[in-house]
Amino acid sequence: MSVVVSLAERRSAAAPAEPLLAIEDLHVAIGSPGRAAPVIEGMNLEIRRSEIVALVGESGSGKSLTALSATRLLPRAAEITRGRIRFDGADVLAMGPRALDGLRGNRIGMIFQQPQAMLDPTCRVGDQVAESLRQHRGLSREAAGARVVELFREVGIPAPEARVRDFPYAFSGGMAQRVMIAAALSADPDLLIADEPTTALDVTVQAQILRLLHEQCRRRRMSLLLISHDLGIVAALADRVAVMYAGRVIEEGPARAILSAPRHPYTRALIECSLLKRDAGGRLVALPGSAISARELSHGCRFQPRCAIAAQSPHNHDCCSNEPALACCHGSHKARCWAVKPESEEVQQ
Amino acid sequence: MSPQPAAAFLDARDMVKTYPAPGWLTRGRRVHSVDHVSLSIAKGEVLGLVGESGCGKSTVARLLVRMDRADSGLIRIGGTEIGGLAGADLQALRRKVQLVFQDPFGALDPRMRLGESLEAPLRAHGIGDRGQRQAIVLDMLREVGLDQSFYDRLPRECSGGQLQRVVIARALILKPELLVCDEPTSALDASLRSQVLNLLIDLKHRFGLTLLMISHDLRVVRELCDRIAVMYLGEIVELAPAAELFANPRHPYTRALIAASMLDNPDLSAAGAGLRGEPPSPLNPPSGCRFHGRCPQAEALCARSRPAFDPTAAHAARCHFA
Amino acid sequence: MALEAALPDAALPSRSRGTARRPRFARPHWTLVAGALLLVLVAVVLCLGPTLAPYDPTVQALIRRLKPPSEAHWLGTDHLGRDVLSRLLVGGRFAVVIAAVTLTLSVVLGTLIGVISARKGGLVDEIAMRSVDLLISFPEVVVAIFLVALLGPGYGTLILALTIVGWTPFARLARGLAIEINAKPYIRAAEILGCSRRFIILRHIIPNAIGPISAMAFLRFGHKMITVGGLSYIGLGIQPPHADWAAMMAEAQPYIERAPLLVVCPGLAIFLTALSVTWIGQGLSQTGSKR
Repeated sequence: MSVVVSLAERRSAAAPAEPLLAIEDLHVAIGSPGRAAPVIEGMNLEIRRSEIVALVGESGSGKSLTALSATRLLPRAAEITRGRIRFDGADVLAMGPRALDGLRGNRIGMIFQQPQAMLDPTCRVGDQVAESLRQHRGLSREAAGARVVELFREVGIPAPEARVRDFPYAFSGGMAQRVMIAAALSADPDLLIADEPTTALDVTVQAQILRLLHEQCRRRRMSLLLISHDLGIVAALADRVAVMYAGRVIEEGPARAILSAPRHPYTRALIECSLLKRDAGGRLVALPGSAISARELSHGCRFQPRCAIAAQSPHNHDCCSNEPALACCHGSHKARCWAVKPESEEVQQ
Repeated sequence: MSPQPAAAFLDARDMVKTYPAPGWLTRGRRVHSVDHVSLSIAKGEVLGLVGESGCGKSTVARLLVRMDRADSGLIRIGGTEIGGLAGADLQALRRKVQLVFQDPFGALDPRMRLGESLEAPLRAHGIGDRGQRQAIVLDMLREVGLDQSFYDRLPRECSGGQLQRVVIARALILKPELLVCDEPTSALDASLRSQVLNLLIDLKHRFGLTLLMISHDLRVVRELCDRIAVMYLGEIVELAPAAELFANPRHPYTRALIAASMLDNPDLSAAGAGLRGEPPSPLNPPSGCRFHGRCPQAEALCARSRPAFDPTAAHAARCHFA
Repeated sequence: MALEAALPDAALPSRSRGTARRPRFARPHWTLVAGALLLVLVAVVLCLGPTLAPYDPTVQALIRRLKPPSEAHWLGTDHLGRDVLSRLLVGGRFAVVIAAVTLTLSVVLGTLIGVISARKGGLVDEIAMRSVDLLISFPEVVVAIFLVALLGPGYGTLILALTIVGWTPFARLARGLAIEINAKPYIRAAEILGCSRRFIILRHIIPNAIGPISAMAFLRFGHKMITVGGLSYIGLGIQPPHADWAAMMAEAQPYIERAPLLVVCPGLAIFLTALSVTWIGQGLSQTGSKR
């Protein structure tokens, strides 16, 4: 319920039509210049102000690389070969090192799967968060220290005055993730990128962290890009969901539409897997085979080899030979599948 | 799901395992990782063991496969006390009990071809000659749904799901009777989880396995297990048949875990609402009921006295109000 | 039906074939290529040296002593009138062979002691590591002088002297690596599956540790050659009149102003040989760490 209310709230307060982050036709390749292999091919993604977008896909689908592209933090072997990335109107790909520092420090915050690995074990936790405040905000030592305590309280760390002086080993996974969130929030970013923020955490803590992220986004009118392999977990939180497969978005739309009426067979399978649904024979619904990456398929729908309907579909020939476009199926709900009929022929539920 | 339990195949009583505390400040003290845990599994049964990280569930796995020795307590597997086994007797135990690891990337030697990894246990137990061993390995690869080409592959040439199949194949290659699975799917994508769980169910039937499924995810154990034990801070706090546990959870911790794991519920504010904070350090377990600090129903009694627990009851809960 | 659903990967063998976690970039570091080329050159010279040499390197001709380079003697002659080029062509064998033999022995000994020490722990580990501490504080040259005094000069003595001290850094490295590898889940798996200690050490730990160890062996090769040279320089290595690069430098020292080439040429030869092997070691560790 609360998700829906917040969605409406945000829409009404929605700022200009210009999206906060716009990724257009992004191509990323990995490898040395001579033998680069594509991992992202023609990725499009928009995040509007104070919107929560979930980017979902299996490992190797390119979801993390998409996020890293947005801040130009790709590993050295990966390279953006084509595309445009605009953040708040500015061209990210044309930015110099100083502009990028400003972008990463002040406008976009990031948190990752392994919070403990992101903390320096020899340095007090509070000092690590204060450091970025002093650098990017120019706060004095005392002011930064006070602000860190405030931030720790905000992200729900008990006894923040004492905890800022602790070293990282004294923090559990969930608490360390809260510290990372506090650090990311310290700069008051417009966009927070959370790459599998709860995958390494216990179930009870997962819910707490997701709730915290949701709250903070709502309060700060901050956008959130939530990356995960588990559609069921993130979709509850998101306004919009984009599902990635082998380097491309294969379905996107409002979270509720995708959860209740997924159009792409891959999305459907992901939801059923996530919920551990059983089929008629009492077996857990499973996606056959393993994910292929963008570099392995040159023609046809990328999901075709694993697709249950491609085999029996009247579109079978298309499935094997041509890749479908991301077609509208209802409003802003789009899917990349030959079996998806356009809106007009659709019987609305 | 499976026939009614006959005699217990695994019978563990009052297992205790402590580790030296890390850090110089706490030197000399010991962490009670597993504190008087009793478990029994009937032949052919699937028992689930759930709890948050640090609750001691992986330590239980280590004790049952004799990776570690318990400080005290009795563990009988197929009628044999395993604590003091050595030499040939220990090798015999290895053929009865095996472990499936959590992280398939870590559980296989990155420089060893998968075929050799699978063959190593056969060699260690003197089973067959070269040709026979290779045939057994190829058979087992087929059982877990992999083709012959995997025999010559290195781990880095496979995906996580494929490697987890290899890890399962290796655990089964000695034809064990009890398979302990320590979070077999938590390192995998959601899309691969069902594949691996289906495979485990199939193999259980084909090989007549007895399974201990360890997981932090109640959804996973609910789908697979006959009975479920919930662990908190080194103790079992609730033990019941799976359906009964979900229909009628008696311990507040179980209730909180169930609420938290139903994340598909779009109303996020309800999920995990019952549970505050995180488990306390096992170095200083709370007095009385160990859960009282996080329990929404705790009363003064809970801080003072430790609730009793009868592991032989059909539905047991370690709570004063159960 | 049940089985088919459990066999999804078999259904897609060709497709999953290339599903490597990461593409394999086996492109070697440039130092590896450069080092290997240089080493091949050095090896050719060392092997064919005696046939390439225009003169007998030990024949003296005092009337021609300390001649500058000429048509007949490309690099001139030394203080006893011997052809410098000929001596250079045959003079490397000794140091290179000694360095290679001692390093091989040191690697084998050090790796075994280090790995066993790490696996056993406790008293064995303590004794092994304290011996390393003790031996590592002895300079190689002092040990060599002592042993030469005791056993007389010769190949055997030198190899013994250099190996006694030489295995210690390898033992330390191997122990560190083995402790790290020993903590991996696949070692636990091997133990639970009942694999023998021997199997775990030989098939799991050593193959996973050998990369950094061999890189270190190559990196130390140059250092070893120079030590051998140093020993020859103070007269503990090869005995005159046989040619050796370091001994040549030592003998030429009094004439360094009149005939600098006498020192520069063997010095350069030592430098290039050491450099080639060091580059290979550097390249190996760079290529290895990229993976």
